[in-house]
Amino acid sequence: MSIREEWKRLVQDGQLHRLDPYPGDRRKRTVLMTPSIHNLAVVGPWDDEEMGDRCARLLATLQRIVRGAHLIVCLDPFEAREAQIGRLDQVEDAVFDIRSREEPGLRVFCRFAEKDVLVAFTCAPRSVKVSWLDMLPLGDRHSREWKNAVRDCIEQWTMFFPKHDPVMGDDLNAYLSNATLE
Amino acid sequence: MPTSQMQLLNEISAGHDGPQIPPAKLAYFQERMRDRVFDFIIGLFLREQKNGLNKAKLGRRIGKRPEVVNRWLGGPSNLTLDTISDLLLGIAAEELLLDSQTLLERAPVNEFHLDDVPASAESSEEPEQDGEQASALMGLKPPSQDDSGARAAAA
Repeated sequence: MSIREEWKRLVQDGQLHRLDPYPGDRRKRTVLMTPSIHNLAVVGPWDDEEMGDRCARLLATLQRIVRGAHLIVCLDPFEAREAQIGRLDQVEDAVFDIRSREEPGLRVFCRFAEKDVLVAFTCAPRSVKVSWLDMLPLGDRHSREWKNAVRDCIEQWTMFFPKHDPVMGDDLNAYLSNATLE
Repeated sequence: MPTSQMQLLNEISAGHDGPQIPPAKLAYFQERMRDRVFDFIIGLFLREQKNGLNKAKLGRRIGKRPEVVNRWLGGPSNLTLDTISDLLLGIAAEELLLDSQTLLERAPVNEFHLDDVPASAESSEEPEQDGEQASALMGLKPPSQDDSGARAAAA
């Protein structure tokens, strides 16, 4: 079974969720989400105003990816400054974070199943603890939290796609269309 | 209009005497608008790059250091009305002409980026996904008047 057949089966079975664009927007990419990301950004409930504000903005950020907006990507770990998606250390793990910079900053950990198909596994606060996320802030770039988040992403990938590798390598075109390197 | 869209736009479509729009819905559409303006500016910049523009030249033209230009072109959250004006002038000698479009009655676009996925098969899944996905925004209740008063007092 190809990886596309695999992720479509997972979507059909409800194990992964595919993010819809806002009605009227185009669907140029696919963002697949685990139930935890889906609950956070889409389903809710958003218990308070801060959580509602932040999660609504995260939803808009993820939908921006779906509608094919231009993305700035950094493939060099620790070098991302303005990139919206960055590859994390170690590069051979092929784990990326989607950088949602509104305060409090959030990072969504993902891998690419194929070109323009992202699978988002977990979300963590970048620097400030938030009551509505069960993860510690990632903090310093060499912190245990970063390593744990990357490891968790890989473990979840293996659970969902035991027979497939994510997209790897240094060719931006293999990951995304309409994107430039930082 | 699909049910999910109607729910999402409940308060938004309620007219001048409708209830307060929940803050998360305001935030969602704020973010969408920022993204839209940012995408427009990036589109112009990419177009003008083909005509020889780069960030250094742009910075020199509008009197900003390269790192400032880099930040402005780095993400939607870095833009203000003034920086938008500076960027439009520097990139393309243009100004923003405003127009807006109703959020109501928008039909989903029947388009998919994966070539081998038949549109008919996908579109049969759409209503269910759409209904499920909009639920957090849809389920929001307007803040009570008491809450609004307390927030205003705190501010």
